[in-house]
Amino acid sequence: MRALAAVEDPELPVSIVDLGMVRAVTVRGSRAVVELVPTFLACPALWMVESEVRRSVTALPGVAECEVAWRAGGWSGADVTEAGRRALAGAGLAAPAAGGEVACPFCGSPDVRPASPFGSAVCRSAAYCDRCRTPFEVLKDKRSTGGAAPVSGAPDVPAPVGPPAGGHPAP
Amino acid sequence: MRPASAVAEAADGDLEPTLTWLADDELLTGHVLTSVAGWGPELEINVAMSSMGQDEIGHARRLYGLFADAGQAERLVYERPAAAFRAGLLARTYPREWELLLARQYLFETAADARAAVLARATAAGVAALMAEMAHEERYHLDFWRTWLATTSRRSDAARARVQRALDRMWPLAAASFLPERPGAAERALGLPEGALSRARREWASAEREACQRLGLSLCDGPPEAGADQLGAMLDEMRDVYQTAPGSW
Repeated sequence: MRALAAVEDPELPVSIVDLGMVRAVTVRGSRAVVELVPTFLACPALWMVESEVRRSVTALPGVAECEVAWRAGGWSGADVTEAGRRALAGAGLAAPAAGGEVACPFCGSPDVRPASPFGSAVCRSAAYCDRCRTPFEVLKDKRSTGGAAPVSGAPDVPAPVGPPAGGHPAP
Repeated sequence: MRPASAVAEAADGDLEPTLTWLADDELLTGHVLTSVAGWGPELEINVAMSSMGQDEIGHARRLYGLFADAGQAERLVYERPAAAFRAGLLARTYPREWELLLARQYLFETAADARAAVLARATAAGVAALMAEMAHEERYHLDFWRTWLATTSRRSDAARARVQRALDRMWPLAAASFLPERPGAAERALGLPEGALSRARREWASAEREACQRLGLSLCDGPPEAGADQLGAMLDEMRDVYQTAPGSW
């Protein structure tokens, strides 16, 4: 596990162990099998994680081979450990607690509200702290997607501003 | 990347075409969303479309991965003839207007959600777990498009009229796309009860008619419009860079 704790997510300043991605490790003789769960299926960094896990584990004495097996799913932002939360907070990211509660990573206030269910990566949503008035991102819970957070600007939708397509009458 | 419980070989001849159908739908939808991200009414909507498009492409890769290794999946995307694609009519549309995209995506996501509830009970190895996880992730998509369908159609009578015209065009395509080419064969290959997908389609159509009615909208049956298939244009865009040096990527 120490070897796996040295493997960080390529996009987040936290180990894959603290991120909750490592689900099982089996060693038989000189062969290790590490079972991982992806954060999100479309995460573009998963192949890097796999590569780093193999490199890190096969560097251990007595381990000649490492297979990485991916579970189909089961991860949630709430799986991040306490150490992981602290590391993420240092980078301005929040991870939800087991009950889905989110605290501002800057001031610690629970007085936050969702800004958008979509952030700068597939695993992140956007939020805003009403106490220190700072926007921040949250690792998606994914296991409790009850209702969409309002996207800024709703419900007054301005007229489309994309390339002209025959024109639309003004609402 | 090999899944923990991959379908190593599609022993059943109908399983691979069924999985290809599901994957092709996701791939084309991902291409549409990532291509039109930037044309939405406001910045956050464009961020959302980009994110959802990435999800869809990732889901396509996982579905192809149930029967193909990484190299084979790349060739399926970049080298397969257009005639070999199995995506439904709705996934082949390529709207460049907000209301058309809204109608397309609303119908696509509600249909995918309805199918996922059935596919999560498939006994073919690897399928149920993957479909269940996809449903967790696409719940964010579903909520987004439901919110915007309601928001846009409630804004004004003119806005509702535009949404209605978009639904008039997209609904026949969506209705024709819910089922695979041979539903019975697909159900057997997936290990589903006979008629499960057809029942899901009827329930989805009924539920969506009610949901649209509450917004003052209607879903009118009719033949799919001719010329809606934009697969060729999508593949040209998708393969533009690849074609500069095939086999080098």
